[in-house]
Amino acid sequence: MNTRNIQVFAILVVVALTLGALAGCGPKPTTPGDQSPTSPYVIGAVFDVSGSGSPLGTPEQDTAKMMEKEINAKGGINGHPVKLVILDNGSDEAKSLTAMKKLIEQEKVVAIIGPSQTGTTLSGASAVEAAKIPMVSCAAGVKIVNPVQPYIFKTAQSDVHAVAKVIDYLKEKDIKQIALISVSNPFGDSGKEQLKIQAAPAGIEIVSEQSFQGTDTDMTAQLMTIRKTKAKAVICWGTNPGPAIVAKNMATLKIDLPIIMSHGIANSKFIELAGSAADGVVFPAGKLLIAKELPDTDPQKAVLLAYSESYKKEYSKEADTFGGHAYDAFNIVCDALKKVGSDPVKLRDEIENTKNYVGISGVFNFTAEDHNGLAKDAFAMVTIKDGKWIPVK
Amino acid sequence: MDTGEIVFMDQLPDILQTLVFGLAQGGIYALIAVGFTIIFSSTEIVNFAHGEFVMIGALVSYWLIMVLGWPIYLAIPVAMAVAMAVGIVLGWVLMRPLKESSPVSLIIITIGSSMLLQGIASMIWGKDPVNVRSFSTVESLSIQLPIMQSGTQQPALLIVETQQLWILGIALVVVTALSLFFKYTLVGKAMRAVAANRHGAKLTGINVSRLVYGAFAMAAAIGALAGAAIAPLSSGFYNMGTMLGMKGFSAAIVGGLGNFPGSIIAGLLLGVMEKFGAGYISSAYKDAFAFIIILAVLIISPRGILAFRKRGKS
Repeated sequence: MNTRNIQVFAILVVVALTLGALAGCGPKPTTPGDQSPTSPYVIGAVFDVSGSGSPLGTPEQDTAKMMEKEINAKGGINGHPVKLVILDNGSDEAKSLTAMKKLIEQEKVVAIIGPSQTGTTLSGASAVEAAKIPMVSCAAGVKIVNPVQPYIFKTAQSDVHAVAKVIDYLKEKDIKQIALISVSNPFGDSGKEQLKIQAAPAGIEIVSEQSFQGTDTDMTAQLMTIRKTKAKAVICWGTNPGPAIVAKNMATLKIDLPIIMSHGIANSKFIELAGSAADGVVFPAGKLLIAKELPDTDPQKAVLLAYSESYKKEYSKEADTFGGHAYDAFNIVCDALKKVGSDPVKLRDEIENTKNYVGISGVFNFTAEDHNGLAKDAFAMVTIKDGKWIPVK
Repeated sequence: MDTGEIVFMDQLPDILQTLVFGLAQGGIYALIAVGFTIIFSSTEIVNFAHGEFVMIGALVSYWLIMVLGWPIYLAIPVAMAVAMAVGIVLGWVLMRPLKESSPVSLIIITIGSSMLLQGIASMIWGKDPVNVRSFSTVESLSIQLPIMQSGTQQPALLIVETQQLWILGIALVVVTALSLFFKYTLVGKAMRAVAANRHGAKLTGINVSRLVYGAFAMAAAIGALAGAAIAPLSSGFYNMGTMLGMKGFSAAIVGGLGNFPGSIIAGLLLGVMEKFGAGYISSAYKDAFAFIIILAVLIISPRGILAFRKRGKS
């Protein structure tokens, strides 16, 4: 062994020892049956922190960590400190299931919050259901709570409500013919499906249905087809960057129709990407976006302002809707823990019993039939003017 | 005028408009296809990491222009230089330690490199798409056509974004420069010699490995230029290179891999077909439509669309 090899070997040994020492320091998992007044309540969380879901999972993780800190600073729940174990599923459905199993079997968590996306939630739902551990997901897909599974809840607003809000807006503006352009992914497909279901009863006709791929760079061909129809408004259902390109292409082609988009563009990124073409776009959004402009009578206003303030203080960046889903999930679980303690069955019943919880995504009223607990007033219609969000009057 | 002609005249402005957008999209595909062709000619490797050069061009130019406020004429050469450096490293990885490997394992390494580069880009720039401003301050031009817009009494307008003109201009300059380079310069001739007969070229004293680096650097620079040019229209993001790379690769294949004029024509055709497919057939199946035509071309003429011309020569 020459000197260089010895050096490398020595470094490796030191690294290995350090890692071993760190691992040994970790607190031992507790069992849910342990009810001594100071034993921590272990709450598990699975978020899509890395991978494609990272724009959702990252603020959710940040929010959950902030909430854990806050609640423990206030003395925990009835004297029990809260210990949050967060795992990253890498936006991968199989890894998400593994993470949930790990939380249940090794960490002995009393409840799980997350994951961030519909696919990663559904992949583990049946395992969680079988283990009888309540899970409050932060994902939007209506499939998570329809059909209802006893132990599965979710805090993100459903597409159903966003579409209902859009249909209301169209009725109000007396727009009877619409063209639909949506992204070819579960988000776009689900929006399209809901629009088709809800448009007909409202007397609205979809005169053209177009789609685009998530990575497409130009939608002019689809928009020119729409231009030839009798459409009085264009509905675009997608997530960045597609909708920004649609808005820009419409400006380029001088297609002068109202543009209504989805809550998928409820972020400053859309305004940045679409630039001046973003002006006048109308979309349904969680109220966090326009918290300051809400009337003081709005029950959510105080909660929204408090959350965005503490988030900004903690991370020096703006809070967003996704973090809000984790905020609600965390609070709903903790409120239930406070009332009934950590027995999973009682905890589940208490979560299902949540009434008038005023959160970030809306006012929640869970029932045995509705594990989302929100109504369409969880959304507000927002428009963009000079690059700023303002509520639609 | 019979009814058929009226219908056609009605459609004409839209057809022209679709053609313009299709050609601009195709210009990008053509530039990307050229990069595949350059690397394939000198190494016989299909470089599946080529789309990442496009992404590097888009994101580095975004960073320089939008974050640091550099002028475009400085930012783009620097973005190209960054891509060239990455290209040379990739060339080194493929050529030096793996000299004895089979082409298949080299191609798999390019796929791995592609994932690695995407991962690095997502760590540097995040996963959100970013916006880059257009090269020109005037964003689009409207040209009045001597035809009436159907259903109205106004003349039809043909709209061209200045960025699209830039793309087509860049494609034209790159193609001309490349053909002059391969025809008249010693290095260009040497590259062609390597492509034609690697062993023979080596025997005549051509430094093959240096040429391979040159090929990677050139391909990377052209890819980065394409990325910088498309970013103002499409925004830039860490995995934008995947789909653009696939389209460019398809164009290179249809053009007959290793055939420059073929890949340019195929790139433009692919862009135009895609737009007509989306506008006149179905937007949901537009990619499928383009790829079906590619399959058809390959079945009819497996060596690419210009194969009939080559056949006579060789």
